[in-house]
Amino acid sequence: MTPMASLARATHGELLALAAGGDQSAWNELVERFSQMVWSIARSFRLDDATAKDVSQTVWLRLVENIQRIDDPERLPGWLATTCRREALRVKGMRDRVVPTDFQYDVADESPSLEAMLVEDEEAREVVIAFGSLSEECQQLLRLLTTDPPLSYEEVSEIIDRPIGSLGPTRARCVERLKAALLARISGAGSDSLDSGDDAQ
Amino acid sequence: MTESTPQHDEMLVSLIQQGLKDSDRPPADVTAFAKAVFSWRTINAELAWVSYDLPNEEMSPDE
Repeated sequence: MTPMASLARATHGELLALAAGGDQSAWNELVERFSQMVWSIARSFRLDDATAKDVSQTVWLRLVENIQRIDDPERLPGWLATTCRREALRVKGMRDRVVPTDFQYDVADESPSLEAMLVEDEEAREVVIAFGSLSEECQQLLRLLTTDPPLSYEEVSEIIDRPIGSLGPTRARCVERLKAALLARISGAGSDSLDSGDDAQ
Repeated sequence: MTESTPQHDEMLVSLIQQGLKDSDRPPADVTAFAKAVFSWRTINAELAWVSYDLPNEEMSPDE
């Protein structure tokens, strides 16, 4: 059993090597480090909670099965992200074979989700409520670009199957949409006035 | 929020990050499963051992 303090400072590769040798505490540290990222990726595919749970659990199972075969341990975040994407698309494909072909920036829903109500910081809560009104594509992109630990643009590009060069401009447009939604909430104008914005280029 | 500068945008993105961190926590049973699944890493070896033993035991009475 490795001391917890040293595990917290260990690199992903060191943890993976310890876990591959049978160290449960190193494995637990990997789970603590990446479970939120895996969950965020699964949720970014708009899966319901039960399906997102199945996807997350499958990802961890795949890691256990392949723990001796990860070629580059320091690229573990990318491996987890790719595995999660494949599994999410597999289950999503079984239910719904229609895949959007382009980003949409329209406002989908302005009602606050239960999840948003869990945010303690008032300012962040307002942002999350406004975030919930963005299109699925914007939500997915912003979710993937704000994971902890962070994913690289290359990894995000692979997850959403978009050219890496399109991510920056799309992120900027989604942030503009978010600002408009937030402004509409703050001013109490509702989402009806959003279509007049000049950011949907 | 009416001004639009790169600093404001980054502040907004960090607020999303903070908000999603709270609202998007993985359920406790997902994390518990992920930790527990570690004990399955030896399952193949154990199954191989069992399947190796079974025929030997089944053969014993006939011998």
